[in-house]
Amino acid sequence: MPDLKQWALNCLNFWYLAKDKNLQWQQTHQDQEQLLKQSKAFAQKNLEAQLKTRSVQLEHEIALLRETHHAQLTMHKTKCKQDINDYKQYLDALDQLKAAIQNSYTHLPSAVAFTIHHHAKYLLNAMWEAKSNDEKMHREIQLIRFMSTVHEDARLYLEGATEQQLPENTLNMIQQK
Amino acid sequence: MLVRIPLWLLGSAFLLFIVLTILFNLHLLFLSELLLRVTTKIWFSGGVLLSLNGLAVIAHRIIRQLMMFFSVQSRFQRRLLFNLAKQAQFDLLHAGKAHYINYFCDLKRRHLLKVNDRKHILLLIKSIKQNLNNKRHKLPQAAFKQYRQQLKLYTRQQNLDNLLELQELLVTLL
Repeated sequence: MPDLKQWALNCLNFWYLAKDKNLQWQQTHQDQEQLLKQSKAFAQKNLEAQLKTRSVQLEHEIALLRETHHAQLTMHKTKCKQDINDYKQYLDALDQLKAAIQNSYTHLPSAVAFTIHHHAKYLLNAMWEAKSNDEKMHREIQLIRFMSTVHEDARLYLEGATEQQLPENTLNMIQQK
Repeated sequence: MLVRIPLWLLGSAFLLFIVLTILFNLHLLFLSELLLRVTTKIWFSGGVLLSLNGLAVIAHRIIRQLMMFFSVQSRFQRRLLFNLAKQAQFDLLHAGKAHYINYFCDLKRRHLLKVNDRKHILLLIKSIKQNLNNKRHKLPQAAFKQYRQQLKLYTRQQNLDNLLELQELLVTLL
């Protein structure tokens, strides 16, 4: 019984000793704890200010982006409409080309006129569907050269400046394809 | 501090249960019955206090989380993340709209091409029919029928290339 009492007292003393040590440690490091609290609060305020600034900046950038995109899309739409009009004009030009051949070479079989027109249309579509700008330029030059050759052949024939009964230069260009 | 009280109550109730068992074994029924009533009440109170303590802790945690959610820092962080997501969304939307415009532009162009092709196919078919009818007597019956069938097939298919080949064939034949 006295041993049990002694043991209980020892436990109690140990508990109080631990509490004293804890209190002494807290007292010696009081300044550091205060400094830590202050720097924590300061860092938090700093972070809040930075977040607010960044958020406002982003909102401004988004407004700017919205306007830029709207302008870009409007320009793109206009360009597409213009492209469609250009394409329509190209098709009309090719129809006129065919009519010009048929009017110039009256004896020419319609098959030849159709073939010339078909080739011109092929060049037009190849130009329109070209992926790179270089290829597009190359196809455009081909088309222009072809149409010039056709008109030139028709002009020479009408003026009687050539003995050829068919648009030979044009047909050669088609064969070279 | 608040947790200690119910724990003490439960601990003391447990000890009293032991004492109760000893008294019961010593056949002191009146005392054991009295002690049983007291012990059960202490046990019940300790349990209730412990449950209330638990509920208080949960409530405290919930309130603290709510306060953190509505704190200035969290609100600004959420606003910033929302704006970042909105910016990314704008870029995607722009790309989508541009793709949409390109698609319909290409569709219009193809429609124009189709209309133009149809116009020329009709002219070509008319020309081939005229050619075939003109050369009907010069062509063998079987060949004439074959060319007419081909013309019908290519007309149905609206195949410009094959029609051109047929036209060229008829021109070169005779």
